[in-house]
Amino acid sequence: MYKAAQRRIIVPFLAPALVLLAVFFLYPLIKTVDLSLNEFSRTGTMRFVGLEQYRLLSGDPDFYNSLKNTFLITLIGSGMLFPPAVAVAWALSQRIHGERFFRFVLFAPVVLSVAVVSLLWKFLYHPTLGLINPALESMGLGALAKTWLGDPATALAAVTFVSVWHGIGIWIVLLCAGFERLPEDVLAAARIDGAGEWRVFWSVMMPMMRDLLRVLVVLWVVQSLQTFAFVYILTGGGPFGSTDTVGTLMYRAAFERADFGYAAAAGVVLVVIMLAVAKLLNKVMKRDDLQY
Amino acid sequence: MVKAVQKLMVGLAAVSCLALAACGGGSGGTGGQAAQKAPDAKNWRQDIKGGPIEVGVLPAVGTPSLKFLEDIAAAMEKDYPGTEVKQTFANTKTRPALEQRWRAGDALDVDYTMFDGTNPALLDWADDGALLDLKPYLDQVDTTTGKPWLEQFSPAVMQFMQHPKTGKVYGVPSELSLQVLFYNAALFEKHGITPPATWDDLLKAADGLKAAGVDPIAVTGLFEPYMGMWSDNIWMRTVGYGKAREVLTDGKGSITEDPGFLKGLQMLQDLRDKKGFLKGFEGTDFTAAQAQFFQGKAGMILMGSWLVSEMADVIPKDFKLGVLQFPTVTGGTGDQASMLAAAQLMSVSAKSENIPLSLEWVRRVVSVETQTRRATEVGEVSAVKGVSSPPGLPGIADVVAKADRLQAAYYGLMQSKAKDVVYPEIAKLMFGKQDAQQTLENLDKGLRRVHGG
Amino acid sequence: MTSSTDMKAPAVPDVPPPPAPPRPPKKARDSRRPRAPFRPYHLFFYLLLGAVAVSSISAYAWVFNVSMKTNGEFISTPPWQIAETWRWDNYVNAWDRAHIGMFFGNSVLISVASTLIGVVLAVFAAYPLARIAFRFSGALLGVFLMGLMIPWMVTFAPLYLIMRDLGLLDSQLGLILVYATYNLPFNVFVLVGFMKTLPYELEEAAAVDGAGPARTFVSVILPLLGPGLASVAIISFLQNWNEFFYALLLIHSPEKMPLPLGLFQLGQAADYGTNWSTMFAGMMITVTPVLLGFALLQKQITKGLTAGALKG
Repeated sequence: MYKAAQRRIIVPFLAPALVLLAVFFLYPLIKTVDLSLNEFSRTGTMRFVGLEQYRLLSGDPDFYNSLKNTFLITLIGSGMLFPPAVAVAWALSQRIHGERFFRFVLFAPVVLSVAVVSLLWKFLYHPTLGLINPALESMGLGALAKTWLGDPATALAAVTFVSVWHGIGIWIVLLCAGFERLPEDVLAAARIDGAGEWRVFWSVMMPMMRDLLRVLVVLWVVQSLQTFAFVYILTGGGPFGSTDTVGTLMYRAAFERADFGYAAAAGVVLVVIMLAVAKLLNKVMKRDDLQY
Repeated sequence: MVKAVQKLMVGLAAVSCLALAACGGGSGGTGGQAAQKAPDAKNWRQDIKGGPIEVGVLPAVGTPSLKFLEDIAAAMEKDYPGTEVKQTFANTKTRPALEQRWRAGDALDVDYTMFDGTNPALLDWADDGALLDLKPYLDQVDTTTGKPWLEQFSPAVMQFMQHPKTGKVYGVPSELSLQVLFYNAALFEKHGITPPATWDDLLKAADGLKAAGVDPIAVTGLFEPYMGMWSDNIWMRTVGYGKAREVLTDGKGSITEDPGFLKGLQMLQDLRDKKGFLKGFEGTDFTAAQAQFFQGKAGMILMGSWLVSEMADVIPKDFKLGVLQFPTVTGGTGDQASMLAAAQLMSVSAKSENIPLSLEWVRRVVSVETQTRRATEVGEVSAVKGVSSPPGLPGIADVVAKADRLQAAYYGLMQSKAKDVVYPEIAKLMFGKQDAQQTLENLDKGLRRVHGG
Repeated sequence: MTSSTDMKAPAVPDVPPPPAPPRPPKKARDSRRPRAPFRPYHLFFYLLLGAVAVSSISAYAWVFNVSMKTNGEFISTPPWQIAETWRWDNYVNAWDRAHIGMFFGNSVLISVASTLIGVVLAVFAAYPLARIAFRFSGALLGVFLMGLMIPWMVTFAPLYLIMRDLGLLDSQLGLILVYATYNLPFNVFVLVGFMKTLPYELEEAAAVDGAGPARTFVSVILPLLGPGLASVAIISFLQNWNEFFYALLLIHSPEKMPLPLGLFQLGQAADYGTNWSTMFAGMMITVTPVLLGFALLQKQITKGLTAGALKG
């Protein structure tokens, strides 16, 4: 009976959000699929060309290169993001000294605009005037000095690092909220059973956070597969395409060449890939039958 | 569409190779829809009535360059009661939003970057009738000078203003940028280095600067088209503008046919191997590269003439700047006296509700008076005849006088797929990732791919 | 573009978590987790936190320092050198040039309204998706997930046209609705994640007490969402506060523009006119209220958590 009553609230609860989504998102997205089947002039007149844009896309080495880079950013970025973010959130959940202060400070970079953060890091990375290379040299590690953004071997990681540095506060806030909500009695029980802190963290906390972590990983993947802003400002996709992402590729197609059909096709492929990866991740990270 | 563009480009190549002033007579043509509601050209200035117009502006809020435009707006609001000039920032990063407004039929009355006769990708708006043909108005005698308005502009910029096929004019230049070689004159004097007129001089100057402990040339490695300025200019000297443009932009013929291409790449490689470029330029962004030049950490920089107005605020007071044309190449089979340039063009919407007022805005922005003030106070190079050269660019007048022709910067590549082939390969060469021969092969492969050869 | 199977088996948590061990409802958690006693491994924490904290404080110190320099100083001195004097006129300039006074109010209105709509609608939408088993719940969650995958470089063109047809161009309401919509997927996604971790007995107990589902939601579930709600609100707000492209696309009148458009002009003046100090001063001006707001809100989060725990 309660179940039946519950059912009655489904529609009114969901409807407002879905209406907004339908008008401002789904409609433009469906339209995008339509755009991808056309060829455009700069003035916006279009001509139906069927799957031609997809054919062009599949023969474009720049597209494969940008896909590869996009996946690399997602992969490298998750390595740079999650271990420290989880550790920091765990630390904050222990309410160590200065917890409030740290919480505040860790979040602060998020508030800075992408433009300012990029300018800051361009200077930090600067090969001769910067801070990183001179610091390495002064520590006698001059051999490690690199032209960070100018070296195809390091540029991608350098750009990814900046974007992780800027956004990590958000992930920490979400993870903290997860840690805060862990039932204290379960943790206490584990500790009474003689589990060390590390064990409590690894075998009790992490499994309980699994749903949240899965959500966050999917969010990260979906977000980083669309990486655009930092790449665009820091390297513009260079040196020679080594940091070019699907985002920057689409931007060039749409905004420099006014080739909306091509950009839309790339966008559609990207959305399909994101859906597939998200689904795969969910399968892989699906909860085992855990009891706690 | 590709075919149409190719056709246009054939026409374009032909036209841009002519001295364009000659084409001036052939006006009129078949009137597009553009002309329909346009006011009578004869006395358009009498038809000006106050009202609201929205004009695109390039300088950002609070910059001295914007001040001039604000003054013009204020004067117009005074002269024509009811006038309200809304100035909308129209720089590169706002283009996506502004072009969407054009597409949706909500265009600005006057806007930038809607047309460039030398860039095949920027003819579409004119071809679709979105822009007003300015030719009839430019042909009218300007009462203040007693000559047709059109004659106010240097014939060298006609190629930018004019549609290569129809001869109609869709843009009026508010400023010009020329690619020139800047050098630190004090530094050169101090070490007894001669400002380079030829490529061999340039190599010698590089040696001299290195001997003096200064990196020869500042360049950014983080923006590929700026590195491409080097190959663009070299190829103009070793191949010639027309031929290079055919291969790069139009996709006609192969880059391996003319030996000038490989020669140019080889020259660039020599300069690279000499360590001619700023240490760490690969990871240096353009702001830092320019700053290093003005701090005397590099002796030269190849840049647009905007460099001085852009950096005006921060150039040390005692800095002695020199300006040179890109060095000539002895024995080069290309154009030794041409200069790469770009014009910032204002276009008027054919659908503007107040065309006379929009035209008046354009007229005032390019008036000799405004242009002179902008040249002297901000350092902009003008395309208007009789405007003095900016004092911040010593020697620019000579440099311009020596140039027999202006040619379109970046070979009109910037809005094309070929841009993503050419400049990354040049960057690889400059970074030392490949030699001249490999660069040529990769360029050949890439150009064949994007031009469908 | 996607097969129907994709839609039916969405890439989202779809298995309800196993029931948590029953807990006596009154005891609940402690109102606030006590500070853990110092353990050696805390050193590692302090080291990590310290490193991240130092990096973010130095970023602010750098921005502040540059905002005190002249442009000439900025370019001629090493980036890390301390400014010669306190030069507050950069702030005056930034305030005037970026029309910060005018844009600030717009930004507050737009960001607060859109965040509110985005969060409220998301909470309502997330509840049935997380806690009620129904036929298309998975598919619907999939739709929300897709909302995170906007190729905005492309969708902006049709969006512009629909905004025009709805008469929402150059209107703050239009921008608010767009922001709220683009917050929704993230909010829904995160809130569903949070709601799934709540024990199912909560509803059952409420039902036994005779509360309807709507009331149960408001008086039992909502209070427990404290920290999750606060996080999505903060994140949505920041996104809306900093968003630039849609504002540029949809707002044309200066008197309706939000702050990022003002800052953008300062940024362009820096790029094309070496006017860095003003940009950094503008950045400091716009960031400070947000940081203060966050500091205050942090207390609220803590309070919210406590309140939630007490009621649970």
